Amino acid sequence: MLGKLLKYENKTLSKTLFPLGIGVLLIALFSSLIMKLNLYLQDQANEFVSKLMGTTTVVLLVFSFLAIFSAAFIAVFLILQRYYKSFFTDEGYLTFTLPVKTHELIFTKLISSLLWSLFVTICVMIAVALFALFGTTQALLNQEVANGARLLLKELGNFFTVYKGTAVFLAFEFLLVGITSFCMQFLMFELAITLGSIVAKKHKILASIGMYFVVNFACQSINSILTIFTLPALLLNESMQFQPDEPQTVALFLILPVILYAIYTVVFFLINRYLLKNKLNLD
Amino acid sequence: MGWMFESNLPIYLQIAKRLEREIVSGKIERGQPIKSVRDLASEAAVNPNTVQRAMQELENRHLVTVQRGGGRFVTEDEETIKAAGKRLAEEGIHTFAATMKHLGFSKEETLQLIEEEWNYGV
Amino acid sequence: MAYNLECTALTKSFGTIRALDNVNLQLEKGKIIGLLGPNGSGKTTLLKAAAGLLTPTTGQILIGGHQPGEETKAMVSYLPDRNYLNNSMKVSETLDLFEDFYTDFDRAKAEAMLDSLHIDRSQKYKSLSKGTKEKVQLVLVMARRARLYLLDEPIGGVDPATRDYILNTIVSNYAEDATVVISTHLITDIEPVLDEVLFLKYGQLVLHSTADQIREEHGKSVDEYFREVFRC
Repeated sequence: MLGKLLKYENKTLSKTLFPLGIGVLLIALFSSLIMKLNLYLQDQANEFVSKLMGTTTVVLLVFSFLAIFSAAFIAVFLILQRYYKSFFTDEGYLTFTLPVKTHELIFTKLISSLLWSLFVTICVMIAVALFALFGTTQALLNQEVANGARLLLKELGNFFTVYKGTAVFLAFEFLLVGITSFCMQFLMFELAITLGSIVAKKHKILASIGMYFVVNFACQSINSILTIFTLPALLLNESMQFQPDEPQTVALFLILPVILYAIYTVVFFLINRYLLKNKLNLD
Repeated sequence: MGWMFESNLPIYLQIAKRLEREIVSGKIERGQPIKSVRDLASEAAVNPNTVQRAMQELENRHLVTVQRGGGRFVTEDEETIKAAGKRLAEEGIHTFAATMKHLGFSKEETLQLIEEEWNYGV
Repeated sequence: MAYNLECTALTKSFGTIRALDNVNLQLEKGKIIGLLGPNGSGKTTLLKAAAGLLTPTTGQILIGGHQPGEETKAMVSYLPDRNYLNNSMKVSETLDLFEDFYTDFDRAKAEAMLDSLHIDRSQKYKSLSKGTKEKVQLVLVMARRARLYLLDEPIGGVDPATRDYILNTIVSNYAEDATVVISTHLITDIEPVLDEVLFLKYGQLVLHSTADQIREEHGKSVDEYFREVFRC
């Protein structure tokens, strides 16, 4: 059943998110081409045309940056809007009478948000890369960026050669942190929407936003308490070898956020499931 | 549009009466099959269980028989049909007579009206 | 064999309001049952509870002997009184969805019904008129071979011809192992279709009888008797 749910969820999300990603790419492509053209024309044409092109280029740059920058936010908005719509509007009558388990519904939302966020992120990264490589107005800057990228890659290569296993583990951990924090964040959003929709009869969206701050505050408080209690203990523990700039230390420390985020993820999941199973009241 | 029903009698009896009328008048002939419960239910926009009860009622009055194949057929017996017709007629006359008396017509006046109606009416 | 729907001391409260108050009933298979009562009497709440959309506050509700959950949702075909399908989907995609999730969905039957209603399956749901949307939803619900059908005001907001079509569909869809519960205000139209009636008042079940019994005992149609019981 999970597979089927995913199929339909992805189908629906693709209708808005695919155009978003493609749109971002097209904007980047289009702007890059215009700027390349501008570069070319600046050498050739007269002053007026040059000025005109210059202004349009700047306008284009600003617009493109805004568009691409906001793409991430729009994606999050679209994904959460889909969550709200399919659970707490009239469509909920369909969703919650399907012969599936509640946790399957939540899982589907989580996985599809992951996939489509990834898709939009990749599109944004490609867009930025396009800009950096082709779109900058000065040939020199292009060169700088290229050099910078090359240097970064070289350093990374060194790092891996030197620290081998630890480096790989570290990279893996960063990935885990990314995934768990993403899951936690999205599940937090979705839990907030669930809470808001259940608690409020009208203005559900407003209530959801309010609930988000409540949940967020609760988490921050818990985090602070945890930090206060665990960090001094760790730092003062003399049986552990501590070199703060050693990758091993960082690797060790990184386990903590992974575990924390994972716990939050599970807790949010369970609370959300409980609420959807027992406290749902569609109007 | 489904069949129309009066409010004071159970619906299954009203269906039975309607079918009885059709049998007596010859609309459904002797020995002919009756429509299935499903078809009648659909046509009349009535619960199949209700139609089933109506059929049972007709079976009890021996107007309808169930053959070995499973279908229902109007009885071959003319006498039974005639008797049913007489019963329906008596009911109708009873209601009519009561109405005419209630309206204040005498027997002679009533018979006169019937004479005219029979000869010239629809 | 368990009842298709069974409620035992079923109570559902929303805050201080008791939408359902100690409801006890058993509904057998092969019956079409009318759920009647004024607005706010708990009809929709009862249907939602049977559909698994609400959990009881106290008491129990069983569908085919099971608690509401994934299993019962596969046996229950619920038609709410609102448009609940995804607007961006085409009618044909909705058929795909029902076919995917419900093993008892008869696609050929659904398509035949849509054809007889002259509904174009390639159209997007959002481009259909309100009446057509309701027809599509009815088709989807009735094309399933479910054990329990829950229809919330199926003939309420539609024209008389559509009403006839819907009643006809309910009657011709009759199955001996299924129970159909219809909640409605249009009692006269629906009475010939009913086996039994349930009267709900302020969340309480005040009557569970057959249409015939009401006529025999009170010499009135269900509609007339309803007006008597629920006189304002």
